[in-house]
Amino acid sequence: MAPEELENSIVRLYWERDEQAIALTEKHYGGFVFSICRNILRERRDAEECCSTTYLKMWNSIPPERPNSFTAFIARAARMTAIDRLRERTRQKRGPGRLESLDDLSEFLTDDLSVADEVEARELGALINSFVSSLEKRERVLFVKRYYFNTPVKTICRELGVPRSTAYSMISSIKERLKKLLEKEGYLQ
Amino acid sequence: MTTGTFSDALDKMEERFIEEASGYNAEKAGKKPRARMISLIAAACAVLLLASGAVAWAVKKSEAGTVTSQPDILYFVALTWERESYDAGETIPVTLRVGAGDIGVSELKIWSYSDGMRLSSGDPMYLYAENGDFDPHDFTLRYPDYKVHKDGRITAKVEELPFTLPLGLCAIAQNDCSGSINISVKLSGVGFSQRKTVSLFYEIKDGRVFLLRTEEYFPDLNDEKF
Repeated sequence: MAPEELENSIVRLYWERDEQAIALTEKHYGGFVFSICRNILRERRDAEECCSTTYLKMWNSIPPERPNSFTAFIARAARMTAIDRLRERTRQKRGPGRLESLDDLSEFLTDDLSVADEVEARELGALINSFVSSLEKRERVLFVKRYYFNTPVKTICRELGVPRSTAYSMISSIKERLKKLLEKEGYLQ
Repeated sequence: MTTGTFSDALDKMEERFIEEASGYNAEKAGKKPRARMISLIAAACAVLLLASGAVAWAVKKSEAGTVTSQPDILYFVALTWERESYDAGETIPVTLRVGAGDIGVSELKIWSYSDGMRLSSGDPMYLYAENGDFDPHDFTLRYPDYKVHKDGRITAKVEELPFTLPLGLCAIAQNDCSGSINISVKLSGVGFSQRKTVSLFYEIKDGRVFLLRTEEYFPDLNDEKF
């Protein structure tokens, strides 16, 4: 079955309130969801719990949602669930609440994972989207994998088929351009 | 700007970018995955290494155990502790931090040597990688997955490096003395073995153990203790 067909049939099952939807989601997206949660939380048990929460979120949000891309929809849900868990862990002092990939940007980001102001996040989100859009394809993929999915550099190297030195030089170049943009738009002093 | 603000802004990432990144891999893009290429090269090297085993042995022998021309895989070993002094009878908690690269490390061994102190349990301690491939950017040391073996060894599963490992030390000297405990870490994988040692200087006096300082130790490689 083609990926689009699979996505459509899973979404249709959610809309029909057929519990088979969750089983199919787990079967076809289980590894994907787990890797997102695992990359953010770096802890298997928490990641497994977040996977279950993500499936429940799918069940509760479709309907009314009818995602254009089920892959992106579930990825976003998994990421948000994992980050919520990371924040909860920080509150309970059960480990450092930090996203490892954002250490790359520690030059201009302060280490505080607290929930941000929604308006500010939306404005900054739009700026980041325009920045990502301006990147060359391979850089764009690297940016999303690294900062959205918190994927380890080593895994990115494998997936992009580039040596680690190339990946780090791409990260460094992206970081410089992002920093300049954030400065220009007044996000950094 | 905080990481929280940046992270929440990333939540607004457009679906097309998420989808593109999720579906992208080098194979689809028509590139040969590097890992597979490395595997092929590694296999070829293994054949060559086997063929030249006698030569390698001779070279190694002539260097008195020093393994040269290897990349530095084990970068550092460091030890930290919380207080300056402890009761001589109590277990002293210390934290060992191991910084290492990710070139097919499959086993890590920790052991100590000292007249007056020792690791309180599991000496030597072995940690194994499941797939022999650590990633220094992800680290998870799975506790409490320790297995205690009949011979006293403790093994644990390590997924990635670097990591911090809580250890316990205890005094074994009966009288007042001073000295150092050398804690060694050895990383092994296919075709290499590297080790580093950190020395913790201590003084035992009037039933108290005083932890003084640490420094990197360069053992005599001909010394069988190391």
